[in-house]
Amino acid sequence: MKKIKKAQHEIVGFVLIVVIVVVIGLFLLVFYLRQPAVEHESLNVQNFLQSSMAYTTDCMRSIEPLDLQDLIKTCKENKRCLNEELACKVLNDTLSELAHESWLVSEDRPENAYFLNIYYQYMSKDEEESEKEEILSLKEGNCTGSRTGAEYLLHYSPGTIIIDMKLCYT
Amino acid sequence: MLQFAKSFRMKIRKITRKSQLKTQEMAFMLMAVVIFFIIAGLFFIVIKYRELYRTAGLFEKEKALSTVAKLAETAEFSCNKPLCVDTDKLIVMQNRPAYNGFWPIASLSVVKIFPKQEEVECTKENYPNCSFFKVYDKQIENKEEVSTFVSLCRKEKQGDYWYEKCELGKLIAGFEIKQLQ
Repeated sequence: MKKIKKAQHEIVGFVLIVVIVVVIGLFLLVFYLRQPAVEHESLNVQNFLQSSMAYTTDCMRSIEPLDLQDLIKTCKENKRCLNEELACKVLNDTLSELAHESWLVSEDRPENAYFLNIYYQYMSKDEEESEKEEILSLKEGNCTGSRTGAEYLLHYSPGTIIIDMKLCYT
Repeated sequence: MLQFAKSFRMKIRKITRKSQLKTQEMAFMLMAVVIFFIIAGLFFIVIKYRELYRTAGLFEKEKALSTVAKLAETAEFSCNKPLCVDTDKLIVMQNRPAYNGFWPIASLSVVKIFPKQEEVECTKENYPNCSFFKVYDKQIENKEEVSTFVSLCRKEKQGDYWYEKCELGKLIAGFEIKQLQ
C-alpha cells in the first residue's frame, strides 16, 4: 500500500513537470506566432509609385494630356476628360493595367499579390476632425507570406491624397 | 543492545541508499528538462537567424536599388524630375566608348514596362517605336542584375505643340560578382 502511494506521488510529480514544460512551450509559441507579419518600407514600391505618377495618361483637360497624379486629382473632383470619359474610369483602367504589367503577380512568383488604395485624408489642425474618402481601390492575387509597401503623398488642399501600396511576397 | 545497534545501522544504510536513488532521479529529471530547453532554444535561435539573414539580404538589395536610382539622377540621363530618365538622351548615350569605366557597373539597360510593346531594341532609326535600350555593356558574364522603376520621358509633338510624354520603365544595372581566387 505504501509502495503504491509512493509510486503515485512520483507519477504526479512527473506529470506536473511535463505540464509546466508544455505550458511554458505553448506560451512561447503563442507569443512568437502573435507577432505581426514582417512589414517594412520597400524602396522598389516607393520608386514604382513615384515613377508612375509622371505617367502620361490618355485623359486631356487642355492641350496637354494629364499625368497620373493630375488624373487622380481630377478624379477626386469627379470631373470628365475632354472626350467626355469620366476621369475616375480612365484612372481605374490605366492604374490597374500599369500595376498588372509592372508586378506580374502570380503564385509562381515571389510577388503573389498587391493592394493599391488611393484615398483623400483631411485632418483639422487640432486633429479632432478627420475625413477619409476613398478614391480608388485595386487588388490582384492572393496574399501569402510577408508584406511590404510604401506610400506616396499628393498635396490636395486642405488635405492630402494618399496612394498606399502593399505588396505580398514569399 | 548489540542487536539494536546492528538493526539501527541497517536502517540508516537503507535510508541513505534510498535518498541517493531519489537524488539521482531528480538529477536525471533536471538534466532532461535542461536538455529540452537547450534544444528548444537552439530551434528558436535557428529560426531567428534565418529571419535575420533574410532581412540582411533585403537590405543589401535595397542598397543596390538606391545605387541604381542614383544613376537615373545623373546629368547624362535625368529629365529634371525625380526617378526620371530622358529617353532622347538615352538614344544618344548608347555605345559611347568614352564612357567605358565611367560608371561603377558592368552593364546598363532600360526597358519599357508600360504601355506594353513588342520587344524591339532601340536604335536611332526606330526610336521611339521600340522597347529597350542597351546603354552600356562591359561584356562581363559573371554579373548580377538589379532593377528599379523609372519614368521614361521624351518630347512629343502634337500639332504645333510640344509636350513631355512619360511612360513607365525599368533601369537595369548589372553588378560584377567578385569571386575569391
